[in-house]
Amino acid sequence: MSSVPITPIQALPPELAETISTNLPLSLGILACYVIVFIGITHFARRGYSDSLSDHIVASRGLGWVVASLTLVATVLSGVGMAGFPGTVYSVGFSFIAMILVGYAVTAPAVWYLGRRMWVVGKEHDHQTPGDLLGDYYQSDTVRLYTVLASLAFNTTYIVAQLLAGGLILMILTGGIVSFELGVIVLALVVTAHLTTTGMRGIAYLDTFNGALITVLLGGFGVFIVIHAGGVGEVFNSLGDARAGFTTAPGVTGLFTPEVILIVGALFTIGNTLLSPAGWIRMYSVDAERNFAKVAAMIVGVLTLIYVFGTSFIGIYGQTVLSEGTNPDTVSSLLAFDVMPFGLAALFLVGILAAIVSTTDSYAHVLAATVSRDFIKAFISPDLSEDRELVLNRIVIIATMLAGVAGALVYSSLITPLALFVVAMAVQLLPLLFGAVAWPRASTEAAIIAPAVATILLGLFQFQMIPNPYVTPLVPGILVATVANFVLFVGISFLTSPQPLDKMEQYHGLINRKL
Amino acid sequence: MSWSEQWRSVDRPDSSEIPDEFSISARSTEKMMLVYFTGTTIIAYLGMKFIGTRDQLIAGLPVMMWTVVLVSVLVILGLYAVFTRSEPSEQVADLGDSTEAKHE
Repeated sequence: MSSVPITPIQALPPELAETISTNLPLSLGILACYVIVFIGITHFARRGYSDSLSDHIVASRGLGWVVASLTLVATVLSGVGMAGFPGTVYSVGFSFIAMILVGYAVTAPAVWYLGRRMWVVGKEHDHQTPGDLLGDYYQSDTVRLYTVLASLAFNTTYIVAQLLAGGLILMILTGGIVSFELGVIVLALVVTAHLTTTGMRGIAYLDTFNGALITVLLGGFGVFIVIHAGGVGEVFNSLGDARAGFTTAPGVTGLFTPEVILIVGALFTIGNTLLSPAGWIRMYSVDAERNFAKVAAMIVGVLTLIYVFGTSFIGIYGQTVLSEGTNPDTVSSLLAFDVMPFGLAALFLVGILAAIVSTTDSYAHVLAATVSRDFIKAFISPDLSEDRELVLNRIVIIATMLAGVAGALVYSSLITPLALFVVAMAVQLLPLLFGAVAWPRASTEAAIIAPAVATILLGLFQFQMIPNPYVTPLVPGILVATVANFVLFVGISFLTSPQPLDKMEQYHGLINRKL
Repeated sequence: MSWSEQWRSVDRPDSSEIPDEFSISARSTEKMMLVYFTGTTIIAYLGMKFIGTRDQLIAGLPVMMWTVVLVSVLVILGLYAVFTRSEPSEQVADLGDSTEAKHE
């Protein structure tokens, strides 16, 4: 987001390259420790793995609230949260993080309100994917196909983005012994082996460890920044005259107005946390309805701690310590070596790698589940047995990772704009979900037409093919397209008939009795 | 390829036939909490509009950071209230008991 010329991430500053090469044994030792913990968690998860489809996809709906919360945090955070977000604060100021956290202040109640409903109907009707719920409620394979397309777009993009970032981190941590290309391949192999042998349970356990590690590392990073600056106030006062721009709305760019902070923040975080296929499946995986309030509270608490005292401090203090030409995505890594001892800085890079692994395995897992179940089983091979579906799931995971590696090595420049766009695409499932679990007036006609129109609008706004009445940062058309989606969804629903009464009873009746 | 648009061949009711209890929220506690969370959202917006624009530090932190932290705390308190007030119904306990807390 910075307008100044930037240095390519591959070109590490010479002094940092020298520091890493001098301390290479320590760096490799820390990486090796993480790999040992990773293998241990995989082994532990493997012991409780029942090799059934339900266990593979939704962990037999048995995740306790701590595990469920941290797996969501680790999945959502990703390499973007560890490296990209501090870089964005470095470029545009704290107003960006205010947008994300105000978004979570809306998303957490949405997780509590909608998540419980998704859990109740998912448990009763054995739903395992977004397509199971929406396709069944609206009795339409078109609607089911929307969820597959959203999953393909969302997960493929993020898997490629994570492999790219992971390849770079491995290259840095190993002082170039592992090349970027080899790093991408190694990461893909590790994730594939972990996923195919442990399923959702392995992901959840690994995410719990990674989520805790990330939280401690980002919090610790904040403490070291305060010590380095000479006090909390100095972190901000060191900005001098630029302080106002970096610590108030609408920020340095003037784009983050209170309206944008609230509306775009809410849409982005709901899209990323609740409506992303990985988030959706985690709603099914929680062990009890009563725990959704705890899960939602934990997400807000942990992310507030991470984003305020970690991410924001890194971005803001980076403005003081690092020169203007720094690539924003490298700010957190470079600052780590400036303010922390080498061992902790290397551990921070391992933390970024952990976030990348968590996101990659979650997204590959859910992509395989949606493609196998909502596309191949639904449209091509309806008689597929559960055992064969499980095998198919693993084959799709391998194919996904191969495609991810190809994407990371060939089409890397397309990823950042795509990653933002696909979140906006996922948001377009919100009215459909709301209709299926909270608003019985919703009709199938509305579920088919409204999100399709909204997604086309999103594309047209993105490529500036039609005028956009309310341009927003990150994805210019997210607000207008989503409003159009809701207006069309409600309008068409009122002009057409709702779902059959027996279907309503299976969803809204069930929810009414159980909650 | 198997493709099903079952909704086209089923009888669908008139909207007047939708049972009244199938509303956005049938429970008073849930309604109250939805109002509370709407309130926290409004506070977040007003906080950004009137406080988040001030270049001022309180205890070393910008007021916009305090505003965001305050909103998060209000949301967590609301969710805590939800948790402490909620009594799982028998049916939900039945739904969840086979796996409840098994892997926590």
